[in-house]
Amino acid sequence: MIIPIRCFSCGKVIADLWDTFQNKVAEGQDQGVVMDELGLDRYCCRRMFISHIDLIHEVAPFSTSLE
Amino acid sequence: MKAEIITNEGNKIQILLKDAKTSEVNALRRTILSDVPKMAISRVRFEMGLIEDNGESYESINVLPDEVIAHRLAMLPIPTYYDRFCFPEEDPANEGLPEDQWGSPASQIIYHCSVRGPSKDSEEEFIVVRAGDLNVLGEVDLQIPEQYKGIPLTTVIRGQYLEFYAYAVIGRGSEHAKFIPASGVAFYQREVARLMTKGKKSKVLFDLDLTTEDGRAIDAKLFGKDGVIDDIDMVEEIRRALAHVSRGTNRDTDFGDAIVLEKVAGEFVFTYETDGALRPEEVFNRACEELSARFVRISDELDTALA
Repeated sequence: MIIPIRCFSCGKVIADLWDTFQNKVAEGQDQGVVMDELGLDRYCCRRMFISHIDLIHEVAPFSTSLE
Repeated sequence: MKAEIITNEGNKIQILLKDAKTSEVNALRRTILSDVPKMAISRVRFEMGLIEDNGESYESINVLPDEVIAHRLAMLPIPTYYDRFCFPEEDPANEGLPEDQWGSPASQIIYHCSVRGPSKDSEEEFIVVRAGDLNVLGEVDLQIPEQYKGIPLTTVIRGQYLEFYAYAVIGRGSEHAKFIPASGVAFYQREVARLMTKGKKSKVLFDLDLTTEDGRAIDAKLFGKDGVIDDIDMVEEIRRALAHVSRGTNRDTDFGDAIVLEKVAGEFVFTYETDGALRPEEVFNRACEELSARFVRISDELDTALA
C-alpha cells in the first residue's frame, strides 16, 4: 500500500529513502547497488524495499466522498 | 570497561569495548533497546467533518484509516532533548489529573498538520502528505529533522483534507517500540587474522585470488612481517572473503587453517544506528547512566533488606 516508515525487523527508518530508491531504479540502476548507496546494509531492510509495491495511488481514487 | 569510538558517521556508530564481558555488553545492548528514553508521538487528535474553502468542499476522509495514520506518525523520529522534557508521569503539571488530561510544555511537543487535496483547477490528482507538513507549535528545533521531512504519511485526493494535532511525549522502549532510539544494536567479539603457515597450504589459498572490497589481494604481503592483521575493518574484509571458500564449499580442506581468525579476549565491537532523534554517543552515554542507576538501586535495596 504505502512504504512502511520503519523496517519491520530492526526498526531503521526507511521511508525517507523510498523516493530516491524508486527514482534511481527507474533510471535503470541496479536495485542492489542503489540499496548499498542508501545505506540499507541489513537484509531485513533490503527486503522491505524489494518486496514493496506502492498501491496507494491506485487505491486512493476509491476513497471518495460519502456524498 | 573501556570504550573507544572506531567510527561515528551520521547516525551510525562502531565502538570498541575493552576489558568487558559478554554479559556486560549484552546488558548495554538491552538497555539501549528498552531503557534509553526517546520522544515519540503517542496521541493524535483528528479534525473531522466537512469544510468549505474558496467555493470548494473538503471532507475528512482518507485512503488510510486514522489508526494507520496515527501508527505511521508514532514511527517518526522526534528530536529528543533530555534537559528540556520530562516524563509525563513526572511532570508536576500533570499531578492529580486523569491521564487523558495530561499535557504541559514540560512533557509534550505538539505538532499540527493541515493538508487539502488538489483544487478543481489543479492538474494534480493527489497530494502526498509528508512528515515535513507537520508544524511544531513551539521551538523550531523540535521540527521533524530535515532528512526525514520527505517521509510519506498518506495521500489526499480532490475533495479530501487531513488535519490533526499530534502529541509527542518521552517514553522507553520497554513500553512501546516507537520509543526505541536505535536500530541494529549488535556486538561481536573482536577478532584478529593470523597467517598460520607460509608453505604450500597458504599458497593454495592465495592462488584462489581472494580480494578485499577495494580490490587488494589477500596474500602474504597483506599480513606483513608478523603475520597478523588487527585492523577491525580489514579483519572483517578477510572474514567475508574467506566465507566464499570456507567450510561447506569443499575447498577449505586444500588450505586448512592457513588463515585463522582468533578471538581477542575481553574485546567487543559494538554497533548500532540511531533514528536521528538522538546522537549515537548520547544513546551510549544514556545507556551507561541507566544501567549504573539500576545497579545502584539494586545494591541500595539489598542493603536495606539485609540491614
